[in-house]
Amino acid sequence: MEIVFQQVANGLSVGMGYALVALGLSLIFGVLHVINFAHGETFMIGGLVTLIVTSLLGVPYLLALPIAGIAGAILGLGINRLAVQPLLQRRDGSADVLLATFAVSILIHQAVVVLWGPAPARIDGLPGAIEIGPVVLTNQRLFVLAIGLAFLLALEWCLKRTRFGTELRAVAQSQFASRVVGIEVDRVNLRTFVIAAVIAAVGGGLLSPVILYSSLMGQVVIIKAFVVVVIGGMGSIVGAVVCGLLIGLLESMLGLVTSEGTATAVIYSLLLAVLLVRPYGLAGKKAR
Amino acid sequence: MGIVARRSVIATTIAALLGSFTFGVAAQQPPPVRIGVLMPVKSLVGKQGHQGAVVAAEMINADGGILGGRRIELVVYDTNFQPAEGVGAAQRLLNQDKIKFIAGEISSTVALAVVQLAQANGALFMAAVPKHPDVTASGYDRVFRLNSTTAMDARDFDIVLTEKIKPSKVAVLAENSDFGRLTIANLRKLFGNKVVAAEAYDMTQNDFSTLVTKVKGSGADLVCIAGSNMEQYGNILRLMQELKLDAKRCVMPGILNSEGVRVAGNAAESAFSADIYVPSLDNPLNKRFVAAYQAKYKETPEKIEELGFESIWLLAKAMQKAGTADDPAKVAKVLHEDKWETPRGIVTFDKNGQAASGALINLVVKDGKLIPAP
Amino acid sequence: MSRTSVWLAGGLLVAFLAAFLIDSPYVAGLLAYALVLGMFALGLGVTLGQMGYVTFGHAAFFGLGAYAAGLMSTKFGFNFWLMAFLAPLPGAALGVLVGFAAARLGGAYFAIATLTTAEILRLVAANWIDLTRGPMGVLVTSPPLPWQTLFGWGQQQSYLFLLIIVVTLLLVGLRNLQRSPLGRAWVAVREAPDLAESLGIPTVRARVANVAISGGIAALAGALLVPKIFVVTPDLLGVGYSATGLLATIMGGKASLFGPLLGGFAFAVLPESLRFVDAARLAIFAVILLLVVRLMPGGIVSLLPGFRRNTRAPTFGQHTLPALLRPDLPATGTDVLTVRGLRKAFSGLKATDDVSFTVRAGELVGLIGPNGAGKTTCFNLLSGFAKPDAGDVLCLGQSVNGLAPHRIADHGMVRSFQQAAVCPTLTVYENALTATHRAAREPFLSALLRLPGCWRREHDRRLRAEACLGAMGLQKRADELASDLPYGDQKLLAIAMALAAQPKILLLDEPAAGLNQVEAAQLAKVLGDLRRAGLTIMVVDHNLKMMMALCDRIVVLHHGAKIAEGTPEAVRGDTGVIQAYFGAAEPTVVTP
Repeated sequence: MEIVFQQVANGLSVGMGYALVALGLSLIFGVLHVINFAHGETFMIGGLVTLIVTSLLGVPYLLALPIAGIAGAILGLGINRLAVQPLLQRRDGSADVLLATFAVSILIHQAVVVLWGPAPARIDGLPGAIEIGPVVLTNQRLFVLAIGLAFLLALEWCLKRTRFGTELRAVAQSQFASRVVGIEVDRVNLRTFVIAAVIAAVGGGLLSPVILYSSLMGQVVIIKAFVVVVIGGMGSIVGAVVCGLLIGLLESMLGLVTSEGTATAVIYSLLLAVLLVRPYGLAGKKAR
Repeated sequence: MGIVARRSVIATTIAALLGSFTFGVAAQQPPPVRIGVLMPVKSLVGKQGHQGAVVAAEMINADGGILGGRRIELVVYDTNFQPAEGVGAAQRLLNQDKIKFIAGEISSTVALAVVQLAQANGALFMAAVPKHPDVTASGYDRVFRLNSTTAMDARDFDIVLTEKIKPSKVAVLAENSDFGRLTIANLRKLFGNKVVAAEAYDMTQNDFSTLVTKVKGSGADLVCIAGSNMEQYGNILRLMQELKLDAKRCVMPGILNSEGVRVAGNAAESAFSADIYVPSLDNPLNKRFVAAYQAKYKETPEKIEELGFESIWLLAKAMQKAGTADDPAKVAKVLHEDKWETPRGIVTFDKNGQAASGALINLVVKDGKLIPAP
Repeated sequence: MSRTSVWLAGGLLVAFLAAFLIDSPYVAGLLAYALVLGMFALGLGVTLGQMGYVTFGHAAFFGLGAYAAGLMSTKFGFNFWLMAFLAPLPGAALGVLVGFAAARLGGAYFAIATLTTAEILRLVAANWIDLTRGPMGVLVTSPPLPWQTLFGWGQQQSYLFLLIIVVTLLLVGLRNLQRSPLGRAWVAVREAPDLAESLGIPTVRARVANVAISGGIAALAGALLVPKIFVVTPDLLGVGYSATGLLATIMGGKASLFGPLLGGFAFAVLPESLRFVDAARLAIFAVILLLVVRLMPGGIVSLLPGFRRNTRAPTFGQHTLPALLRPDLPATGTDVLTVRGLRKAFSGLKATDDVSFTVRAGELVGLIGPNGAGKTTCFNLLSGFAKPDAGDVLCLGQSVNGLAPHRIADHGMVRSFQQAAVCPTLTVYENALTATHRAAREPFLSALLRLPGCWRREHDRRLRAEACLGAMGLQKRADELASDLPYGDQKLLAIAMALAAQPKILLLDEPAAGLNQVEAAQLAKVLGDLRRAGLTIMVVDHNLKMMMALCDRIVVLHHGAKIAEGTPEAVRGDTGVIQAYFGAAEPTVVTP
């Protein structure tokens, strides 16, 4: 029985990892209606920056996270400028953005491998763990969960209560109508993109102590994040987090009875079935 | 189509690396001996293997080259762990660069494809790191492999496990590859129903909390890890520490290195393993190799680096002995017949081209360092 | 000599030239690899370019083909090449399944469904060790091809020869399909799926056929990659290859057939030919990719002159309306459309409330009512776009209740839409041609091989498209893009398209809305002519003046229920109607 509780704890922390990447991906899709292929690399850069400032510059881990966030913001600005903003207005904009962000993701990955090297590395996060009976949960994993929920609440508050949030929701509904009522759509797009990049980079910083930094960590996580985004409902913030946690839980529970590979295959099959029954995702509404 | 068939090879030219040393006499030099090197150079292991190969070429050239002063020149191509890319690179070496001697590679899958091409072109292939038994099972007599196979490792290591460790319950965590699967099968044969958990994980997986929780639940007092990715076994070791799993930890032979120990941090303390090579081996060639490698790359070479080195070193020595750098058949024959001095000791090849050296060296992690077991 | 045979002869010539002239096995092997990737992209382009469905998991087909051919030849000892050419079968079978998903899912949801399909297959391949040997892969050796010894070629040359032939065949076949009703149906699904259904195009079947063909081609490409890489591994089913296929298609230009082929070449040749700068080759490749997207919207193929060739309209002859209509129109006076007790409620709101009426052959019946009276809902129920809660719809005595829209169109009832529904990126003529889908059934093989029967039927379809455009006065604009037409002409085009579908009864939803007076007069004249020629028509419109002048009979709806039915005069005098429109008895206002 304790193994089940341990798995719930494990599953939630793993799932929050998926959610942190999915959150930004979903936000970008909801507002800009494009898929950012380079999002996983932003996650990886977050991990790398955390690694560099903690191990080479000796910055405390908690201080390294905001630095990773800043690095993510700069990277987001760059990606948006290079591969998203100029292509959005095209007729085939979303396909072109997909291609361009894919090219950028190769560039980022190659730059890291050439300039920093391909070696994986350890980052020491928060020390210690709490034990509830036989269940062990490290402070770092708890921290991931807490920050993930904080991001969710902050985003929800921002969307519902601030002027920017209102503008963002308007742009998500219709770029054209937003322009008509005088919203600076390009600025909203840019801010959305940067917020998403910051979340991804901080997510990389949060998770690298758990999963270890590796130059491949972005590529590995992005596929699951895609799935989370779609099942959670494109553009749905709560959906992304809930669905991320759900998939994490499901994975760790199935992992108890079968091998991880089979568990993943089962989850994908379930997702496929869900999609066919609910073509717009679990939380999504039919909208055009 | 706009393919520019570039015959000029602009790869790792050793002359450039040696700089002024050879400068000025280039005009009178005999043509260099070119050896093809296939490596996934963008990965850590590929980079390590490549650097070992470069050191070998430099050492031979510093000794005055082979066959009357001919320098060794390496033509290095990236294989990126992809058979498609490996085949492209090998075809380029064989057909464009007209090179008949190929060394290197990490991935068994790529190596299997390259063996096919080598056979079709009559070339010699000196596989460095690939571990799969089939690499030397083609029956082609110009394929060699330097690394040990899982079965060879087991011969020595089984005794360590059964005689020294004597576990009562064994858990195995293995990557989902032939290496991992073979290890699981071997340990099951060795320990029978003492194996209480045997889990395979995907080679892209990055969270192992479920696996380690399961292992903890099984009550094993020995956990064997069989996975070549250091971020994966590093992660597993760390999780075992996190979840307070108190068992002996064994990383199966041939995969633990100091980079991996660094990644795992103090979670690797007292984990044990074994390998065919350690940098502290006491023989003149090894001392020279380690010194040259440290001078050039500011790191201490380990098994992968040594195998990369050995692949070039042995080819050059065999060419010298066979008196030709153009006839793979003759060079292969010499390789089969002779005994070869390498940094890890004397190496011989069996009829399939499988290398053998001395017994495995047992290793243990102590104070964050990977050292030979007392 | 037909175009098809010119293409085939050309392909054969190129294949021979390439095999004889390229003596380097490396170059031949690289070209062969480029052709395999090109073929993969070509297959993917069928779904992405023609039908507009993004797929993230086409490696599912690619890898499936490779595994099918590889396992059949290694495990059961069949000849590898034979198995490679059977590999499209499992690919197409998987395509049928995925195609049904395409019928339910759109956009990113379809993309993710394909992604998860590929991942499931990859996990199966990686974990079913007994069959696939897991991640280690299956070593597959292929026997020499028969023409290798015949012409004294090398292995790579004969492999390249085979691939050029196969790609030529695929190009010819796909080109033929593109110019057939099936190919036009894919484009219609991409541009306006509801319109396609209303014109009698079975869109589900078209989607399934599309993904099956696309998957079959991708599977063939996967099988033919095996002789190049020797080892079949789960990576072939992975995201890497899916991305390669997708991006190659976009980079080359998804709108045409050549584009994906060019993209495949770029993805194979660029990284390989950049080996002289080995350390930076992937980065340079990425930069080139980025430059292509930034500077060449539409892909590399847009650099080629005349890459987008629309089907040009022929010169128009004289056409008379009666010749346009089908010869088997029902005799005047028979009941063409019978509606009995039709009901439909949307969350409690009664949109259609026990409506019954009959339309007889040769009549022009109007359906009017104030805003929100349920006129469009009524049309949706009749044409199959909504399912009634109760009641029955009979077309020529047969119940069409609950049938899919294209089946109802098959019964002879064809509708138009309130908003002008046309395929915007096609020319006016191509739009009309698309609408002739029902006019003559085209068997798949006949379309693929462009058999003589297909020529004849295609000729008929062209004549029909011309005639319908002629009837609407759109001849002069035939080569313009539909999206460039003024709104009024777009609505006329929509009616021309409905006519091209050979209706026995035409349901027109607000045909005059948005038209200026000249256009409305033209429309009224056309409708009058059609009725005189014997076509039965039912019209919904707000232009009461036109309706009163035009219609034989008028049915009035209010709050979903029928409140009056009769001649224009009778309806005009009906107090219930006047109250519904004006809330008071003021009969004079509607006098024409």
